[in-house]
Amino acid sequence: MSHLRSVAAKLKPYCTGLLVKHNSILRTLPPRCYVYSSGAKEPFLSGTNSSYVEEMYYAWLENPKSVHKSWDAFFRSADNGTPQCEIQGVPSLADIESKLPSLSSQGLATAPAKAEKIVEEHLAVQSLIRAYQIRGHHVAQLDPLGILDADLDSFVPSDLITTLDKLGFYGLHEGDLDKVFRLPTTTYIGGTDSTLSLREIIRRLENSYCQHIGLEFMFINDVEQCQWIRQKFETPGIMKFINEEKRTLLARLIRSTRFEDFLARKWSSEKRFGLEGCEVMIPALKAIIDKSSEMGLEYVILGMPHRGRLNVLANVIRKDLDQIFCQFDPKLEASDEGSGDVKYHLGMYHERINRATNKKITLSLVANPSHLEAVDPVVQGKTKAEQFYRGDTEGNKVMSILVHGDAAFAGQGVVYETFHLSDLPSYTTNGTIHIVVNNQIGFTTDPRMARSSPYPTDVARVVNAPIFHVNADDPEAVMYVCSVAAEWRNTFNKDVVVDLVCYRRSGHNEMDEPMFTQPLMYKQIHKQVPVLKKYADKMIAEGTVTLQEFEEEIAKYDRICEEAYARSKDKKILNIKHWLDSPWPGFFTLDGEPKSMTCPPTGIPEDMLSHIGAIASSVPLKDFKIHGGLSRILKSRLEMTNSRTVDWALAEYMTFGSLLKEGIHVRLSGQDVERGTFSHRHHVLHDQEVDRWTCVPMNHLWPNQAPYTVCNSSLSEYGVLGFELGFAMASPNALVLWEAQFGDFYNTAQCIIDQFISSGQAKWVRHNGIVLLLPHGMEGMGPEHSSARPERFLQMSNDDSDAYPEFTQDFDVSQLFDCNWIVVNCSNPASYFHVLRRQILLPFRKPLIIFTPKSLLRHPEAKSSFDDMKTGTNFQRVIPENGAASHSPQEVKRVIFCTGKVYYELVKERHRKGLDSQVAITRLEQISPFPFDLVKQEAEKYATSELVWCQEEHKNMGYYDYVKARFLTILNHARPVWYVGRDPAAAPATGNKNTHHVELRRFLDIAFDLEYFEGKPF
Amino acid sequence: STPVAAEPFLSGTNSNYVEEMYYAWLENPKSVHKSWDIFFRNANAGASPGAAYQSPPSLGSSLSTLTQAQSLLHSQPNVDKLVEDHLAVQSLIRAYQIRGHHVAQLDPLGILDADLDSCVPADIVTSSDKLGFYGLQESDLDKVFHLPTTTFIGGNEMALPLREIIRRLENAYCQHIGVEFMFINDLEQCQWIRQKFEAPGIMQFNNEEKRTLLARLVRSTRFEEFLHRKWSSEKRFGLEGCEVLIPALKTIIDKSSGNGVDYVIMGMPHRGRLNVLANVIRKELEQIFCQFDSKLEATDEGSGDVKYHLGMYHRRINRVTDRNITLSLVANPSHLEAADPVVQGKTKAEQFYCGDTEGKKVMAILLHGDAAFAGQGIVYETFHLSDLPSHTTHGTVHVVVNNQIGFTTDPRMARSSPYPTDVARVVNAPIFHVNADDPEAVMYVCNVAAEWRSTFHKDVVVDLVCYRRNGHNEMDEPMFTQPLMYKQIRKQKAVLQKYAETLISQGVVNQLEYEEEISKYDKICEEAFARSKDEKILHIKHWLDSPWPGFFTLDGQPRSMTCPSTGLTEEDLTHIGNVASSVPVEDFMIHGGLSRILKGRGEMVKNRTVDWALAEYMALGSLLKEGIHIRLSGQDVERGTFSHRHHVLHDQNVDKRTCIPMNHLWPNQAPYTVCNSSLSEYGVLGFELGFAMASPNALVLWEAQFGDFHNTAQCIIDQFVCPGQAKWVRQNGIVLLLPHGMEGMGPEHSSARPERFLQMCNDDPDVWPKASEDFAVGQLYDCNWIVVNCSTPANFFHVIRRQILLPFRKPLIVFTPKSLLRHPEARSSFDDMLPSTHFQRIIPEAGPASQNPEGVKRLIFCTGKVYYELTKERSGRDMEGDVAIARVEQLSPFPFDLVEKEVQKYPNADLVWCQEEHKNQGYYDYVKPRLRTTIHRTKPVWYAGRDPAAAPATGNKKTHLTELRRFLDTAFNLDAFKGHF
Repeated sequence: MSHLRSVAAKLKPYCTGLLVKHNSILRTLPPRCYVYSSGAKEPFLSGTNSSYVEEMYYAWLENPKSVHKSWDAFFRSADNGTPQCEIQGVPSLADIESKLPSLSSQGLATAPAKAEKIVEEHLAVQSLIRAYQIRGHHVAQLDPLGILDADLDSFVPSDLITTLDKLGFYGLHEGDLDKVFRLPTTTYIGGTDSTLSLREIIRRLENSYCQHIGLEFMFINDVEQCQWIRQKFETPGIMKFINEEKRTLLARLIRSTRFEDFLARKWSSEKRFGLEGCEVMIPALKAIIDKSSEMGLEYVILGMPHRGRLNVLANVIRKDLDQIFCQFDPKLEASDEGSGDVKYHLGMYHERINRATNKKITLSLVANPSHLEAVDPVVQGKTKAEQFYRGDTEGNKVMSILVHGDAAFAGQGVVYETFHLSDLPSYTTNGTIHIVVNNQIGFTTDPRMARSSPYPTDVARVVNAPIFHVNADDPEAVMYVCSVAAEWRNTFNKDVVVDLVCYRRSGHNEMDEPMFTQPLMYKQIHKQVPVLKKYADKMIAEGTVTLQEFEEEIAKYDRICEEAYARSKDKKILNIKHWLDSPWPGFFTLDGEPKSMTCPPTGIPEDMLSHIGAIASSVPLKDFKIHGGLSRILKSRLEMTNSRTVDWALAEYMTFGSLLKEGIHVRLSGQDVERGTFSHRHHVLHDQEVDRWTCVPMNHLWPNQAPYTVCNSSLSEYGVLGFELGFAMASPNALVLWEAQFGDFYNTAQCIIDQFISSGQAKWVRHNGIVLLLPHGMEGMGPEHSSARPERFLQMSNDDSDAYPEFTQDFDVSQLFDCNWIVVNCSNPASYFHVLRRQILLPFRKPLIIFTPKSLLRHPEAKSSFDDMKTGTNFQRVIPENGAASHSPQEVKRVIFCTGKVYYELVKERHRKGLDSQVAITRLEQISPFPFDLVKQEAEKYATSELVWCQEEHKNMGYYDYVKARFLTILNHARPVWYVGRDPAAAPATGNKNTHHVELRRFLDIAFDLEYFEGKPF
Repeated sequence: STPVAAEPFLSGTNSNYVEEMYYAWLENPKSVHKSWDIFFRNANAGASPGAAYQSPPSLGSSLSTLTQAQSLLHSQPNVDKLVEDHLAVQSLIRAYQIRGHHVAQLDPLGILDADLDSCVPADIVTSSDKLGFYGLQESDLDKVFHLPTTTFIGGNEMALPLREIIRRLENAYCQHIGVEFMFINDLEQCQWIRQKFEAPGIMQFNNEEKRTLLARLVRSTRFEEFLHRKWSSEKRFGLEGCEVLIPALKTIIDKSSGNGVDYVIMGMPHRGRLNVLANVIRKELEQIFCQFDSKLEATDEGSGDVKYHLGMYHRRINRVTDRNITLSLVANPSHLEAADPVVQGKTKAEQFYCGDTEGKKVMAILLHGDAAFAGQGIVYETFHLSDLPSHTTHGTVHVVVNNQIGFTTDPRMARSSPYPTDVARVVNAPIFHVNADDPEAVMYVCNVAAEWRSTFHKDVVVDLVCYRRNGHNEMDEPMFTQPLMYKQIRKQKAVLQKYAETLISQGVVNQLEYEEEISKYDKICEEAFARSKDEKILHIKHWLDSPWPGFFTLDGQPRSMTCPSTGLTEEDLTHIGNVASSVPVEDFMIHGGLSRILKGRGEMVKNRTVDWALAEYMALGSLLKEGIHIRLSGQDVERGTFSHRHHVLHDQNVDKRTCIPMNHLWPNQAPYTVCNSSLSEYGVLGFELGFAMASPNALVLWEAQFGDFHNTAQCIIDQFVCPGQAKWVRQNGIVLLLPHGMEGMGPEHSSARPERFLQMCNDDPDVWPKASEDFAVGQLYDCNWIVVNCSTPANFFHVIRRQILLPFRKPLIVFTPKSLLRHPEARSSFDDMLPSTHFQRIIPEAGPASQNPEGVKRLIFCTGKVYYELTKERSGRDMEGDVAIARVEQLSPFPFDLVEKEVQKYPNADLVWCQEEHKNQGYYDYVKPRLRTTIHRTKPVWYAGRDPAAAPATGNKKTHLTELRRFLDTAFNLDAFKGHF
């Protein structure tokens, strides 16, 4: 097939020549009336005139009086067989007839055969125009290398006129090329002309659709949008640039190219994932930013993979070059801010004046891991947040640009998940511009092994986003496409994709040998003239710049690099802080440190509790009819409020409501969070009579309160969690929560947790206060829907199990400051209330992982009193035993430490066995950072008791491995901590109800078998 | 002369004509007729309107004649108008083909819009005034138009009146079927679909077919009702609202069976799963019913899973085609869509093993829920596998149970595209939306889908637009959040009743027959229910989706509990080495750099040594000889991320000419598949897991580009690889190769997170396993997976071979090296690979320290690459007699026996675990308690390694080296732990 394609490609210039042969004539003369009346042998019957005469003839046949008498006479005499020379300028009918099909019409009763023919031909031309609009991109010259097919499809669509014989597809032939056709309303190729000759139609279509730009847009289900695009690309002469623009473009290409050259010269054996082969990306991004800035945009948030990242930092964001260069020094020491990251992963934030528009613009490049595309939803979330905080509801001020590689764009599911967020009310960023750096290879893998669709960009078809493919070796075409993309985003506020079809001059990185696997492609690449040289030659030939100017421009930039390089030698220490993508000025001190190291009490006044409780039990809108079942729920909330108690849902209400009053925006997102997976939350009320009439009581709490956003997400975890993480990046003054439908589902978003949440601060000094709510608990529901895998979160906590802590004054806060995230499992609503409020009252931000309950949501014992939430109360990291056992600790035989739901099972069992004074049960509410101080207190209080860790999870799961080591540390390895719980297992839970109960019984028995551990070695 | 009324022909449609004439005249006055010449001359001379015209002298016609002609021209159906109208009709036909589905009546409830877009496309003629969009009017309705070649609505007729055109288009595109296909870039395929839906009268069913359909609906409906009656408060995720799914699946299977398919592999979520098991796969009803008994005990085969997750395998006769058909439903977790790639992989494997290169015998059917189909990225990843040479299954039929709600979430909050099915546009698969309350339309669509698949071998989507009669499960209250929708649902007549009424009124069946059919099935259920009471024990084995007869005994047990030697004869080693160093195809020009590599291999073979790549060659090559199919898949595996493997050679002069020496090893060898995958982990690992399910006699390996990327496939690891056997008694021998090692490359590309795999091992750290005859094999049999980190090529060779020589299958996780691939010390001699050698779970110290064990002060246990750093440091410090270094090659199951031996050998040594990973990572947390158990807690186990950290590695080169230095110092500082516990 590729052979066929190349033959076609070779033929193309030739046939294009055929088609434009009569250009000069056609341009100066409206061709339709090219009528001769001289005595020469009726030349008008051939070529262009025939249709005129034909039309006249058929009109005459219909009604002889409808034509001018001169024509009447002409046709009459022709019919009579009068010799043609007798009437001046009149042809013989025989001639006409010979050119026309038989007059006997079969199908059309009202029109004669000739008319039918005309109709058919016009239908054909309409189809032909449409064919170019739909499939023209297949034959566009998109590949700068000219060897591979950017679209994998080597075939040439049968309905494009790549050779003259293909006119036959439409029942047309070469002779029809000069016929003139009325243009349908779905094309702009005519400019101001409403008719064109077929030859010109094809020529113009080729110009628009088959040169260096390939357009895919006809799948869009919107006529207006299609027309808009057609107009942008079909209108004759629309793609012109003035000299000033060309010079700017050249200057930008110089910077882009020479930057990589400079790096290659200075550090020839360092990985930098250079942009060589796609240098045009720098001017492309700048064109988009210029155009967007011109249309009112103030803030652009970018996400991109490693390739070309340093170049973007240097030439788009304008990071100081010395800061970049110094990173190549292997002796550069890191400041002790965290583990840091490699240079091609770091982020950046910069505010500056856009030179083209003279307006202020803020650029932010979001730091990202090597997991390609993982940053997509993060960028979207941050963008949404920035829009939200500025009240930019339509995305006119803030927008995102995402840069993708071709292989990852087609391979990674998160791309699809992100696209599916693009038009959801609470997730839309009102259009993103996607740039694909399509170097036609993924590491060593050919495109045909990497995707099942023609282009890497087909995912955009899912959301009806137009796709503009462009040959990256034609910088002007790239600039044009980018400015149209920016305009599209501004006009329709929808996504758009620019596919820069380029190549990769080196291997995957600068050390890699690509010839092993792609020999022929790389042979071609080695021959390829760099785009800067090509474009400069063209500019010089056109006289837009002189050779001298060009060389001066180069020398100027090289000098800038050299100077920066000299300065970079002075850098001895790398401050990752200089690479922060989302600074929070105002929240931190000027040094970026927390303003204090204390946390105020998290309780709130009683009247606030009552007020929030009252709203949570009511419907704040008039004439709003709710479901009977819900009325009962609200009524019981009111009763709880009156009796000064809260259940889980009400405690959550108190938390959110109180923070909203303090101006903290609260955003709760996830699958079915509005109601709650377990139908306990009901933050959105639905009128039972009026469709789509809803009420969010949380937004009716206080005058001037902060807004509350609660939103059911799409059925995605990876995309949505990434999005919320990005949202939480934008501001410290917001509580952003993501809730999993069930805790176990978080693992499809494992990459966000591993690469961003757990390690984000260590790598990028970026704080993030996102909260993960993960329903967890062994309730006999089977291997799924049981476990949020606490063990995995605990394993990723960065505290040292064996280091005996220093108990300083604010031990609890400084512990929090040092940790990478906080892991809690609350056993009562008040605890949950406090820990969420603490999250905002802390002078810094850490991710918070909460294992949330399921059956406890309705458990009658799992309620808290207002007394535990009043002003002055605090989050209890440990809830000590306070029953009978605590009164005579010396009599206590065993202290059971536990966390979460199993507490209630233990208490019940203890009671049943009458062991209330012999067994103390203490709950760990905060598991990590480990509450060494409080555990120590508790262990010392029961100095003679046996210590047991009890969990309902399996032994290799839950908390045991994490807490055991820390218990031993705080006990100086002097006392053992015995394990009670389920045996190790491969699956988180059994699928058999019976087995579930047997296991539960077994470990409860051991927990209260006071002789069980006697004599066992530890 | 009399002035003409301002030359009326100059306005309107004729102005163009005159204008053109004028330009021609300007160019050359003689190019126009004399009459026009005079006219233009006068006009140019400034004659006022109405006065410019003079009759041409030669013809002398009167002015009135001309005006008369002119007005006649207006009244006649002129050609321009004719052209315009035909263009309009062509556009109109196309509009229906493209956008007809937007107005099709797809929603059985009639309240929501199945496609989210409530707007009616402007170009669909839903009322006669919309003809104006095309410049047509009501009076044109009876005009006859020539039909373009892109439509089949005419049947045998070439022309139809506009009225009929619209009527037929509405019939084809705007009834209960909405067809989306015009985005497909292939004319032939578009024509095929148009023909299937446009040809008049194509959608007829005979009475026999209708009765079968009714009977199937009876079964589907009454099954759920029976469950509901018996266990009204149990979750079962019933099919109510989409009962038509059962006949739909059966239709696809019937049709495919008729086209030659004899094996259908299905994947589906929980909704309707029991019904599919009962009525499509034909699982015995009592086996299903007994699972509702909460007292049913499980056999001790594993932890088991809930009933709506289990799989099934069944072979039977298809009644319609009278042909044998095998049906397999793949077990799946609650992670929606995660089973998609698994089903594809299994399907590919079954095709591969029966030589079905075109997918004519084996096919996959995937069922999806609407919300998950739009939400989960794995759907997209799976679609992108559909046409890759080594991953294609030659077309999958996707059936979406589109109940227009996801748990409690509205579609408009759940997706950004009109339908949940738009992902199929990515691969140009046609999408057939159908109103699930019209069973005949559903059957028709399913027939077409099956035919499409067998004609074009491409994916196709059937979108069953239905509703969910209950809440998300049977206990859930949907009225809280979807009040109006559920009000309508309460009113909705069940599809069975509707269809039965239709057939009775048509006289196809009578009331009595219908009722008999119902009571017949109810009786079947009741009888099965009675039998189910006898079941006391649940055998998960009966729910196995991929049995391996022949591999196990009839009881499903391994045939032995020993593992033969994994060594190889010298001759075989040499032969494989020679092929690995050569280019077995003539006139094949390889790259100069590669020649050097091959030459290097040749020299190694001569010296009887192997490096990593060569050891891998030996392992794979020898298994191929034994008839074991090998499949190595992953990103860039053909060459290898680190450019060490080179299993596919590329001719430097001929495009796309490649050579795989591994396939030139032996006569009659098994085939070797090595394939670069798409840049996906979740999808590809799922696929390979599915591939490995199909047969025990294959070695299926997935290699991550870097180990850390495995976490985007975490769901496959958590839900399938790790607990697969426990949940579904299904063994799987998949091998994960995860490049791992701290080499200063930054937080990424360093760690495969061994700690995570070890944490998920099911062995108890505090318990010495039962001593059995073959301790090592017994341990392997009991574990959920095997985790190894090999330090020598020979050991890697052995562990790979052992994977196949074991009498059972367990997943194998291998942390593979990066710098060791080229490390001069990391080589093995042939001697370590000869017959009777085997995998060393531990490599004990063999140097000076082992000669004088009493004098050894410290025994360092370690694993993997750090060994080489430790030995270098030891020799640098001249401590070879003081410190012994033992390598744990198999981390899990933990080699208690060998570790004990080693510890006992050095009675005076303190014990150190040394790792290069951070303390909360790597192996320490796993190894420490097990080491302590081994030594009966008599000694402490000290830690030498990096401090705990949030990120797997530093991004700063200098910090990396400082850390390395620090822990090496600790490891060899014999006083480091003095005074500690």
